[in-house]
Amino acid sequence: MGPEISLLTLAIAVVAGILGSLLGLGGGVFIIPASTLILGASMHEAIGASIVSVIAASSGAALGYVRSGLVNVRLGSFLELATTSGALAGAVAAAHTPGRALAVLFAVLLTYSAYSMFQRRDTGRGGGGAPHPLADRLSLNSAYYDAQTGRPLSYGVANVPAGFGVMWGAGIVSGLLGIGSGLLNVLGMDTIMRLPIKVSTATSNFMIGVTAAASAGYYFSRGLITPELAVPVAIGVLVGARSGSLLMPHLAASTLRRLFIPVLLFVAAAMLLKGVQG
Amino acid sequence: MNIAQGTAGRGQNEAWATERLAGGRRLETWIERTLLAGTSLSAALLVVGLFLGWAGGSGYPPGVYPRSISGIWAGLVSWRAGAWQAAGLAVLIATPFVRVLVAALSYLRNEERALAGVSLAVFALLMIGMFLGAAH
Repeated sequence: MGPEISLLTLAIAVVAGILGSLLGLGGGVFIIPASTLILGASMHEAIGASIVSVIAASSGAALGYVRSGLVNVRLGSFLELATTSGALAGAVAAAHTPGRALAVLFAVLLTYSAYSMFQRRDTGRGGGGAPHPLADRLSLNSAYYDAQTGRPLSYGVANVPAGFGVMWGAGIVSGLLGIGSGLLNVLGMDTIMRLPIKVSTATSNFMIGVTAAASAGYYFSRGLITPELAVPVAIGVLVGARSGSLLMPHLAASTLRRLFIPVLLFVAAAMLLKGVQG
Repeated sequence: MNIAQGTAGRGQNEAWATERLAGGRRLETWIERTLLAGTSLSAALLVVGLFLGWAGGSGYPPGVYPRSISGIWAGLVSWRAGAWQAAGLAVLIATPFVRVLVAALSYLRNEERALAGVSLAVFALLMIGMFLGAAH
């Protein structure tokens, strides 16, 4: 791959890194279509680059988000158990599951989430659920410094067991359908655990690199990664995610929700297509 | 110490928030350092690898890159682009593993057994996933 293509890949990856870090998705959602449609990569090459991009986005953005207090590290550590065990279970179950029906079901779920997020598009903070006793015991309730209002904001973590269950489901679905778990992580933290949207996307970002690292380690050790694509993608996403993480504290929460809705609908459409076409 | 019931999530308990943000950030500091070291080192290796590749190809047959530590090291010292790129990718991939271990050690040090156990379990699951290739 010559310098021209690498530079184009870099530019695309920077944009994917910015969007992925803002939305807590890691950028795979953008890297796979961009690689196959614009750069002419095969699906196989695109998946390898996409997994690498998730790690780059996660680590690159988390650096900024941990510093600004937006990542709830303790909650992230706790929920990682749900997502990693769910992803393993999902991958093992994939052979025995009707993937197409699941994809359609999932498309419906995402469309509903987009609608529910649209209804709450102007609410920035969490829904104000009462902290769950488990959140008290593990000291999961936290605070962040809100750059927009210039004040520290505290928040509680509600419905911890239900949230853990949803995260486990998110892990399973990502293992089964091969889609990033970031989207479901954000939905779970936002709608079930009632976290502020910025904390949800930042903490999701923090977590997604972990499950992706297990897949990436496997791909790398078997020689399945294509460096010609993955290297410029990794560099671009690192730069983009770092930039996005510096930008996010200054964005309005409602802007984040508005950005999130079209992405939800896009993934829903892709899943529907996957379900119908097989 | 905990947020008063009912006010949580609405940002009303500013005193609690200030206290929370001021104290007990050691865990976050160590995680930040891990992420900074991992991303900086991998970015540096990847950029060198990218430029070396532009200048003279990967130094390996098409579609091949070194995967063992000794293979990567041999390629690094002979300035072969493929080895620099592989090293950058390997460091990038290793960073989340190290980050989970660092968190586990921080929890252990704070005598928070529940979260330490959770982080160690996550690490074990990651290793299983990596060897099975099942996590994706």
